Amino acid sequence: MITVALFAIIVGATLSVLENVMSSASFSQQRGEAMDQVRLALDSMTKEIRQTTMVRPSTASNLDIDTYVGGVPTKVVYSVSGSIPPYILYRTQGSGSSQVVARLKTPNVFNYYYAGSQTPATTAPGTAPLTQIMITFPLGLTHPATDIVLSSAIQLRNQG
Amino acid sequence: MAPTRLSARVRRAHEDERGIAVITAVIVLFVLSLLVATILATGTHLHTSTVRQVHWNQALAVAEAGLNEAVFQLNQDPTWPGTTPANKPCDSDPNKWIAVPGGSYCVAVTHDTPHLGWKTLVASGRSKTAYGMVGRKIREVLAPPPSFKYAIFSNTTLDVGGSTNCVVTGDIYSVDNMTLANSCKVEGSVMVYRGNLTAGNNVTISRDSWTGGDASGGGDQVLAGNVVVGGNATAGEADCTSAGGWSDIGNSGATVKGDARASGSITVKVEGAKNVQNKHDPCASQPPKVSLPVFSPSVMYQSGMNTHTYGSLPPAPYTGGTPDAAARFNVDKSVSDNGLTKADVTGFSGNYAIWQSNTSQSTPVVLPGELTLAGNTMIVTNAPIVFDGNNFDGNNITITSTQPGVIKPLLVIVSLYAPPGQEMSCSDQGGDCSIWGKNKVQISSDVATLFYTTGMMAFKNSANRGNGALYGGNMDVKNGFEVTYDSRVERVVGFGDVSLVRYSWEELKP
Repeated sequence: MITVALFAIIVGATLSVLENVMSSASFSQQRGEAMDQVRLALDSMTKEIRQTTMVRPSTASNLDIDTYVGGVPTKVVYSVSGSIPPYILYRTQGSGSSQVVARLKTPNVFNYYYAGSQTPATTAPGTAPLTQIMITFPLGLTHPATDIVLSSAIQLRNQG
Repeated sequence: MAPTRLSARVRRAHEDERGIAVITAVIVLFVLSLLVATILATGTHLHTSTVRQVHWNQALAVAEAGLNEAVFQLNQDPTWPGTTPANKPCDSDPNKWIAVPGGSYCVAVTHDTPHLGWKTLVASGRSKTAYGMVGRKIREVLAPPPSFKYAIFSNTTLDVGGSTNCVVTGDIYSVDNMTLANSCKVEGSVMVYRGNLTAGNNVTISRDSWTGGDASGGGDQVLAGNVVVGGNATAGEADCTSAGGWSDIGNSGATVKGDARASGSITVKVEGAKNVQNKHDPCASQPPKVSLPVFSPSVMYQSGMNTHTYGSLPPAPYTGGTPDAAARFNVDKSVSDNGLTKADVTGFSGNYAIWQSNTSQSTPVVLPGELTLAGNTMIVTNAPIVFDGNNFDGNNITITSTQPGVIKPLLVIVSLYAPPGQEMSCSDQGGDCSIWGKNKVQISSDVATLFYTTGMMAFKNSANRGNGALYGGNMDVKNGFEVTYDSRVERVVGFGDVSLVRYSWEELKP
């Protein structure tokens, strides 16, 4: 009887640990996937935005550029969609559109830096040459509710 | 007896707890194993992706180090070939790769690509990780600085005319007074840095007009009947003083579709905002003064230019040379009076420098009446240049491509000839001009042409036309020159303050 009781306690404790482990693993996997997705998106966007040859009128939630894709001059638009969180960032090239990042907590992901100024602006182009575009992705994760923020400061090679 | 023994054994078995520890330990170990495995899997994945990302970024930094090294080397030696020949890829040959902290790079340099004097650099960077090699490749094009942005530019006054073909597609700039003859059509903006703009009847300017006055006066826009300015008109001050009087915009028969702003009066019809300042305010919007780009003749002797030279390069200001340089060029390469045929100037291309001593109106470089270009052509001289079509058809000068629509050459005509004396006796009728079109000059749209002189440029006949730009110290095109600005002339080797600047940067597939 004592053995059974001890066994039950141990199994109960173990299952509790197991549940925590599973929960932790699930969160860890969720975070890992989110990080992977955002890293991939940041790398890909950084690569494209770095080669920007022209910036059309853009805002904190919409970036309209001419860049090189595979060495070919191409118009690319990044725009954040949605009216409440979570927002989704889409990439449009020609008639095709694809999702880049989901779970965004804010639609304002682009900041613009001009020559001679350290203060970021939320619109482009400006009167001074555009030197840098900063992307910031604040993501909302669940179970437990956690925020992670990844950002990339991109020096523009074909501007200024 | 037997049942009793069996019952006892069963009872003992139930009371025997040996082995339970093993089962418990196995379960606990199993759970712990799951925990460790999960942590390890997550950690390993994170480590792998982080390492790859670090090296992926490192490979780009290494490739850029290669580009920077190439720019440095090219400043030392414009013929630097790179770490690998341009036609040989950056393969596994270790001799082509230069090790730097974080990886190694390989650079290929292609000279005169995509245009004369330009350079294309392709740099590969690679970084070794425990999971393999990560590589990236970038291409940078170096070009002369942008020097020619206007369709017509005069460093002093400018007289543009021609009632039938005064069509300028692009912007016009003059430092001093500008005159646009009746019916001139400007598809662009007009800027007079320090002087008056006089526009005849029915002139149209599709974009803005800007004039600036200074202590000696000027800055007025004298717009005749039916003149239309499509954008904004501003009559300001080049020197921000009212010493020369206020600048005005008139007259009543003209229309400004945008806003009009003047330090003096405005009498034209204004469809936008009318802003009479009577103060120096328009000075605040004054565009900076633009100077005639400076040409460096020594560029003709940079490696790769393969310049054909007539006479020896004189020191600045390039007034010397040899007595027969122009005559020899004319005999060799033009349709001078020596009876060369059209075949001699068909498939013309390359770089030519003609350095004439004792230059004067009577020592011109005579360009042929018919020129068919097989490639980019640059003709530079310190003598006057005359376009003379008499030798072929007695009328036109035609410049075309040997393969219309296929070969689209750049033609650069440079005369550094400065007529002696303060006043140049040059007009559309000829005289002591630096560049003079004696006959009608017609250039096909395949050819982008830059006419450049520090002296005076004039054209006699009407119906001149071409794509490109006209840049002169002084200019008289009152008989008309239909010019369509062509951005191919924006960057020409030899012009500008610095040798080469970044034109484009792009990442290629490794």
